Amino acid sequence: MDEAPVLEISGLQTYFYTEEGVARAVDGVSFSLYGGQTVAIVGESGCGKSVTSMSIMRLLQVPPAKYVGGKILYKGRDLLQASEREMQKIRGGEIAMIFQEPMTSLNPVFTIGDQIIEAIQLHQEAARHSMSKAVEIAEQALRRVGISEPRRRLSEYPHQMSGGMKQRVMIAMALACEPSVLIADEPTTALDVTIQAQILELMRDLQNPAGEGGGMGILLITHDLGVVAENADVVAVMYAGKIVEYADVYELFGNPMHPYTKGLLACVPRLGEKREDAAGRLFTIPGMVPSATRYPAGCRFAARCTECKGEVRVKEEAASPELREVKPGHWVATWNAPGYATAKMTEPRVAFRRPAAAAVVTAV
Amino acid sequence: MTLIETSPTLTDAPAPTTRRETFWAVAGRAFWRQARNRIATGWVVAILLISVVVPFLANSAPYTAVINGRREFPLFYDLTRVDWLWLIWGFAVASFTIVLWRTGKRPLEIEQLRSIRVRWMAALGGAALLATILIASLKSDFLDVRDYQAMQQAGTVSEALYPPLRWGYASQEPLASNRLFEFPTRQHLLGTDGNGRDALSRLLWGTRVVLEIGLVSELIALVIGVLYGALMGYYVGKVDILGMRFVEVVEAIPLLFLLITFVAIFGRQLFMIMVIIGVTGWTGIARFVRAEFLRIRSTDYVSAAKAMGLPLPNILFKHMLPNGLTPVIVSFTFGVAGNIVSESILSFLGIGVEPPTASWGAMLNEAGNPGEEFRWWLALAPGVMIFLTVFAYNIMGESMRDAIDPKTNKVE
Repeated sequence: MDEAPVLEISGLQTYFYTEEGVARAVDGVSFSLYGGQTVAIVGESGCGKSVTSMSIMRLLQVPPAKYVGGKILYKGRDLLQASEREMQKIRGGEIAMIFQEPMTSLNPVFTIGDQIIEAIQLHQEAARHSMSKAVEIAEQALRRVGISEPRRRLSEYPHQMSGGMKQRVMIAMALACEPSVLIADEPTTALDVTIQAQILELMRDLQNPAGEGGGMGILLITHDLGVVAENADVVAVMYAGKIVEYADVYELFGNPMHPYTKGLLACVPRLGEKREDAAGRLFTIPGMVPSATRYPAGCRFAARCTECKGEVRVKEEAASPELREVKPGHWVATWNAPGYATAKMTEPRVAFRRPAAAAVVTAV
Repeated sequence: MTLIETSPTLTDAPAPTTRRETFWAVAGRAFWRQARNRIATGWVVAILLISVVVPFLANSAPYTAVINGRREFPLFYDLTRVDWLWLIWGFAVASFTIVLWRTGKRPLEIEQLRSIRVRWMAALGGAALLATILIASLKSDFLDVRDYQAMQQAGTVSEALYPPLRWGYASQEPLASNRLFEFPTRQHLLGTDGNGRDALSRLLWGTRVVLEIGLVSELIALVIGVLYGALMGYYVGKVDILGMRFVEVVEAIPLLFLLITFVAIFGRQLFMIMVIIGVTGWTGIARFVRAEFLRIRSTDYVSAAKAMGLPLPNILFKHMLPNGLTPVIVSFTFGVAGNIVSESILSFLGIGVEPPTASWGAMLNEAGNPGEEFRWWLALAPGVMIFLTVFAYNIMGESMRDAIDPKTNKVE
């Protein structure tokens, strides 16, 4: 692999120092994102997905949060060492972010135009001193995300738009500054299903892999496996602050190894499926996610694991399984995976990008 | 096979053409709908207008007259620097209000609207500032001691054109003529005070001191309060805890005693009184701003603004402040009312503005000293004015709070 990832995260640890103790929200997360690639981080609420993305932008309040360890390398530069001034340049200009709630992510007292133009003038050299140039770029950005009559829309207020429109505006705003990485933190959770599909396809269209530097890398944070199957190139499954499985999307859906991943996939209802359960109920993973302040020693999934055998459990009490490359391009953190004992710990890197205009529908 | 085939451009129907309607426009309409608010606003605007044009309403000097065979314009020549400042800034504010009003009504493109407003604001503000500096440095105040009415009787002044009220705030009836404490007559509609000065004229001139102290000291309080509250609300934690203790210290300072002490040591200085009221009166605003910022700092649009890489001052004062401004505006109007009362108390105690400057509090004081007869007609007019003005500001504050609050504002 000659190609260098745009964003490489290795061993990131973000802890929160609260009165109840130290919450290890992100505890040794490693993955990488290449240009033009979509990496999805999947996991249930509270597993540290959002904290990971906020850590990349360094948006967490310090204290109570603290970046305890690890590196976030953006084009070879460690963002955890960067000064606040440098981070301001990177935020928005190099790494942009869109949020879960388009309804509240736009400032209600300004017009759409005011907000896009402010971002553009901040990050685009050409528009810094030229209002008309900035308006032009803003208009183009709105047109690119499929908003009709972009010129008139610029002077509208957020409350005059629907949720889908607002999320498009957020995307337009993020993309107007031509970032190399786009972090999308559950971009479609608050939208209804038809709009979800449009927004995701839009993001994929705008990724532009033919562009310089291999296009924009998208880090997609979601808990929706359907969204992952449709859009991701590479998937990282997170559980209790750690990545438990990391592989390209075909491999992960076709050959899940971690019991948690298997459980997640089993939770998805299928049309016409015959359920093994006598009551015909949908599968659920038993138990609860452990609290981030009180992770058990050893494997954090042990209490909920369906594959955990007595012998393995003993081993699990001793240490937490680390992420190992059990076969080329497939990392997993469970004692049960075939070949785990002999596998090596390597930096998880998958440069895979799915062929254009093809979605995986095997699993969902 | 792909599940997604819809093209994004086709699905969103073009939005219905809606009017440009900001939050403030909606709140403004709700405010304006009630008659009492219109009356209160009208009263406050009237007081403002009177302050600006009072030299042309109540002045002992005629607009124009032929004096010793030469046509002169004594009133214009007599205008002091303070008069000029009021006129210039009054004009600038009025013109900009008109510009805002007119541009708000026209359906303009975003950058046109912005540039028009910014250009006007820059032009008017710049001109007013320049004029202020010029006047402050060039003109010196001229004290006109000529008694034009006596001169007219003597025949040296003719063809005089007087203002509606022929008395300035300091012009006295000749002391000898026993016209002190006169009951209201046709000549002196509200009577005369202990120095033979026309009470109506002094009532009108008194609006200036009221507004100067009310507005300037509240503006000082506003600037300090907003900056302080914003920083505390944004940097929670230790900064906030220590900052709030300092606010409590400032709140513990008794304003009236501080003012009395100051006046006793340094004498009466209107500007210093404003500053003292300002630097002790910001704590309420700071608390409001802090509370709003605590709420706003965790909103999504602030996170989004941070993720956009905006510098801190932009986030604080461009994105957060306008969203947290509503309680500030309300407490501003209440603050003005409070300052008016403070000034009246000071002047009533005889430690307010320097005589012969007119002030409503001072007029109350002049209405009756201990051991003397109480002239109720001299106390009535300024008393009513203080009451009505404070009442108007309180009504405005109260109604703004209702208009701004979406829970009580049943507009649509």
